[in-house]
Amino acid sequence: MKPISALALSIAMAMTSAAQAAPPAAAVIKHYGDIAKATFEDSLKTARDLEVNIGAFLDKPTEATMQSAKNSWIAARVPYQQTEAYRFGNAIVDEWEGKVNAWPLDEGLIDYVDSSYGAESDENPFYAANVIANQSLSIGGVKVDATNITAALLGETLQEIDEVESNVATGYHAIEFLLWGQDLNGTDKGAGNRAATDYSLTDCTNGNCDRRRDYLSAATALLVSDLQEMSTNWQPNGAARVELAAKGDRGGLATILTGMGSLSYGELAGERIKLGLIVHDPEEEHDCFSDNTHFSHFYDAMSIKNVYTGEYRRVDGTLLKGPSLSALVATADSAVDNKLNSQLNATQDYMQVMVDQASKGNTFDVLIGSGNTAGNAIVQDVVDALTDQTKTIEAAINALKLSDIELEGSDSLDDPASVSAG
Amino acid sequence: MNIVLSINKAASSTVLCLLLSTQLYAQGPSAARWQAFNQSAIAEHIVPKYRQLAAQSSLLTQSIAGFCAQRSDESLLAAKTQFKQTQQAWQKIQHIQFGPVTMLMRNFSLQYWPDKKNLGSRQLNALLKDALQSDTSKRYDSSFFIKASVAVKGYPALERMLFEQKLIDQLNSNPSYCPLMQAIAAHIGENTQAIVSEWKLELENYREYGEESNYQSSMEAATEILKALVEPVEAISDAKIAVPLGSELQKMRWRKSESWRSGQSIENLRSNVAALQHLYSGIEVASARALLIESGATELAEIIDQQFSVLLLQLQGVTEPSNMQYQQQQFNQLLQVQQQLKRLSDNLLAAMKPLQINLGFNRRDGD
Repeated sequence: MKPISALALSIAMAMTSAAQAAPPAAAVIKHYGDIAKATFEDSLKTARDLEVNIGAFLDKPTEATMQSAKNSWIAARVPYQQTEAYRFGNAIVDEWEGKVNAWPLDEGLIDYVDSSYGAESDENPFYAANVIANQSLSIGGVKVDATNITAALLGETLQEIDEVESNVATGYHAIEFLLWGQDLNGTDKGAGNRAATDYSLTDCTNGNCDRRRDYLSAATALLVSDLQEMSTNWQPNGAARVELAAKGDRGGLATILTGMGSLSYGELAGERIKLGLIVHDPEEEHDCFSDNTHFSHFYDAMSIKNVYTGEYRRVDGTLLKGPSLSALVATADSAVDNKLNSQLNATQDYMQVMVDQASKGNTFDVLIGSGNTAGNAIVQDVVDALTDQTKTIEAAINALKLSDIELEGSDSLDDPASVSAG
Repeated sequence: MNIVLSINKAASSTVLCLLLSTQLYAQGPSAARWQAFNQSAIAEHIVPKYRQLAAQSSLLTQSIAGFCAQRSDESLLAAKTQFKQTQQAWQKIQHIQFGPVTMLMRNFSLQYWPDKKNLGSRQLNALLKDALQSDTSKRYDSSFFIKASVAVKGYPALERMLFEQKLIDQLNSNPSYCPLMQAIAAHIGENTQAIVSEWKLELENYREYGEESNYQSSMEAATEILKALVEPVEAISDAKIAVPLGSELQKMRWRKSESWRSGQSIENLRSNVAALQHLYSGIEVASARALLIESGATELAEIIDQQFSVLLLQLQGVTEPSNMQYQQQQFNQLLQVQQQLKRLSDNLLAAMKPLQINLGFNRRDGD
């Protein structure tokens, strides 16, 4: 008799048994990779749209063309944030992520800032280096030739210069700052309000428009090429797929759950949301220039839900659907699966409250304001929902008996040199 | 498996065999033993250390009031000395991140750190400026602290103000400076006292376990305590050593260390490690070490205890940097401490297997 592969056999068994049968782990992991592929492809596509619109803006810098560039930045964040559940657990994503989504940033490294920003910081000698205004920098013994603003200057020299994490020269948030400028409204309503003439070659405001244009172009081109790289990694037999496959079925499932739990609790509930709530400071807002933070958090939460339910709504509207981790957990412990699904939905509901508030002008920086009791409570609900679902993600790990799996990649401590660098 | 990599080569093969055998035979501690562990950790470690913290914080309020009432070199020195003692009392219980300290975010209120965006400085300056510009004198009462950011409420804010280099100028130019310092100290005193009182009620959570209770089982309650033992080791290595040290001597940036203003960054490490060792093996009735031995992992239990002791010895040889800068030799000493912390962390994580504990996600995952 011809031997049948274990995979084929388990697929066959899955198809013939009852409707409740679990999908094979390998199929769940493959589909997880397929959603990554689609989400990074959508991120790349929307980043290219952004590049086109920034090109049009620079060709003719008006408020209208600037607005359409801003709109495409906001649209580009929708798929990108939905990739974030892939970051923790997949070393190839985590090591790359800082180039495209590093935050928070000391924006004074890049361009002019308001006097309230201050001229220096304990933490960062390049706090107010302003590379757009300076063709060469010499700070604390570090010399930088910035005559030409190129992708290489941003990506290889300025990014995390002097081993300071908040020296963010590239990625979405650098571009966001260049499009919106600083939000000087504190915890009152309103976002950054940069004038389109900051990019005008004829009516230049705030000086160095030619260099600011170069910076915006270079940063956008770099974003596109970085996303191209990650999109390639998730193609069939791409590096990310190979890395994932090498972990085996149990390692693959643990990767999915690690990404969900780490993003849900430490990163999103803690670093990005609760921190802002306890310091009541708009500096702790993820998208602090554009005031788009509510959507960034909303789609982060959706990312967690996507990888669990095996569903992703692409930017063209089509629904990608396949074998899900949810179905696998359901056969191991249906109560855990039910609870996790309802908690993931509840989290989206709480996020939606935040989004609805933003549509009334009560953006995240307003909600976290000191003394804004109602606003603070809305944000706290989100933190609580994310914390609750993390406990059930732990229960799902136990249900699938994966708690002994140790993952590398979500932890930078194994390499002390990388810790100080970021 | 972590343990093979993390102990010296001579011992590794024995420990590997030992672990394999414990995985085959051990059941992990019984519910009764976990309960004994919980009760002794609370009675011998958590509650006494919070009592010390509250007592030291009360002394701090007095000494700052003394300085503000009568400014002199002596009264300033006394306040600074008391601050350092209070800070060490905090460092000895900083690892507990559950129970009353998390109520109303007291853990963050007592210490907001690291402060990557320099919020403590910006927000304190804004408060002081605001006080200067307003007609009526500012009242730093409870309603002020309910609204205030955590960055201006705790030990780091007080350290900033008390160890300010231009302290006398600040005091002379701003009549709200001393009242604000006193209010922060008093607020800290109230918070730490509340933690002590609330632990009396908190004990109820360790009497009965189940669906209606805070914890499902004595083992789940113990998991929370074990998290406080295991997770800080890596966090200390990362945030308190690796970040301020940088990758090489020239990249050292000691202003990122935890208590550089009061010159206590290294002293903090000593307090942290000593407190964690106490939680691990210093408890008499049922320590983590004892439970580990009962679970069959005797050698691992001893190695972990030795690693704590080695760390304390290593740290005794490390001095605070002078003028915020180390020489190569001191830099290397701290790198060794870091490596030792890494080994300790690996072994503590490995110890969770014979104890059959799943620590779950922690707030440092991500980032």
